[in-house]
Amino acid sequence: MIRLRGQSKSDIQRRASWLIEDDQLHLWRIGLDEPADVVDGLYKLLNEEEQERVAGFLVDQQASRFTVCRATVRQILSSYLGCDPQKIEFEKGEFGKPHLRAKWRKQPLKFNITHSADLGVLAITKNCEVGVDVERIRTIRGLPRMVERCLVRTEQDDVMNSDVNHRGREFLRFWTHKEAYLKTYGVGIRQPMDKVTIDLAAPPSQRVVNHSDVFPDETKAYISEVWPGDDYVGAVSVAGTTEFAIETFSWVGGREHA
Amino acid sequence: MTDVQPSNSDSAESSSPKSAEDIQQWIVNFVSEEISVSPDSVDISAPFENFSIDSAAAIGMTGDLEQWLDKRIDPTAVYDYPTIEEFAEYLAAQK
Ligand SMILES: CC(C)(COP(=O)(O)OP(=O)(O)OC[C@H]1O[C@@H](n2cnc3c(N)ncnc32)[C@H](O)[C@@H]1OP(=O)(O)O)[C@@H](O)C(=O)NCCC(=O)NCCS
Repeated sequence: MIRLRGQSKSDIQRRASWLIEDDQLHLWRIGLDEPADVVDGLYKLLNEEEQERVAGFLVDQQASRFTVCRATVRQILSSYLGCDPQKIEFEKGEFGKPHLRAKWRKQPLKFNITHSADLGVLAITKNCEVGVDVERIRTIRGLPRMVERCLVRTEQDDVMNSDVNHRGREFLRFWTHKEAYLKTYGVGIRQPMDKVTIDLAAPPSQRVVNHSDVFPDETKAYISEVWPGDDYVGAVSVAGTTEFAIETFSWVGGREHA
Repeated sequence: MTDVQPSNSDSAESSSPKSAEDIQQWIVNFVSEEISVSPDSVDISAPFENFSIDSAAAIGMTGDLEQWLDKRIDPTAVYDYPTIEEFAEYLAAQK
């Protein structure tokens, strides 16, 4: 299991530019709650479409978390690409997975974003598609029904046989594995969760035991559990079965990269 | 008044078909509870994205709705009908 570090100093400020190798996976932990003046500064890094999204949120806190997340993702990616954060252009896959626009693939960089409550995580790889999901551990409303809907029999048993106080967490461990896997291939929850079977005890390259042929071609994934902090569970998944060296970094303070 | 509380999803009254307005109100209540805002501030013509309903909550909502309406709902339908208004209309029309 990969533990994400929390530290007081932003890693990005320690290096001017970042490189990533084929067999590496970089995980960036992003704190999303920042003071208003920081959020205002970060807002300027967003493009028009992102600023429109900010304007649409009903709850201010969600607007500022989205702002911090997107702007930080831009800053981090820009230090790999060697360009201004504002200049990065994204495009969306069929079901909404953001990718770098072709002209930005100077390095064939892949990434995926997840956020839950005040935590964002950015996963970066080179060449291979990546998917990441974190969830804050919480009481799941209607847990038995969610379990029934999203998990297969064996998984359901694992969750319902666990200590009653840990059921939410156990459910979310399966959930984040499935979602990280589905996000790798860009389908999100367009594919029913109960079509994917996960073995949490298996080695990373064998955790997806069955995918019910929802993906006819490439279906293999290397999935690791990540531990982003006390109150969170998560998983990260890379297409293929190659082993990845996972390095973790953190971004604190929403500071613009000088 | 019709019962439109998301929390009260017992199948007791599930035999009477629900109108698009009933379903709309149910979803408004669900969303407002989920993100702790007053139901009045939930715009039924705004995309779900504006409410930051995450995928777990979206699946939870569809599950609760299935029980309340006593019919199967395609879990991906919410993506094809991305506002409360459209989703409620789709659900009301669905057999
Ligand atoms: C995005 C999704 C894959 C997972 O959603 P989630 O668990 O709620 O959210 P996460 O924080 O893990 O991931 C969200 C991020 O994944 C990325 N993403 C979006 N669509 C994606 C896809 N098809 N595949 C991979 N990644 C995707 C985006 O970067 C997004 O964050 P951003 O919009 O702030 O940039 C997908 O199932 C989804 O669209 N959920 C949103 C729920 C929704 O639309 N509800 C409306 C109906 S109520």
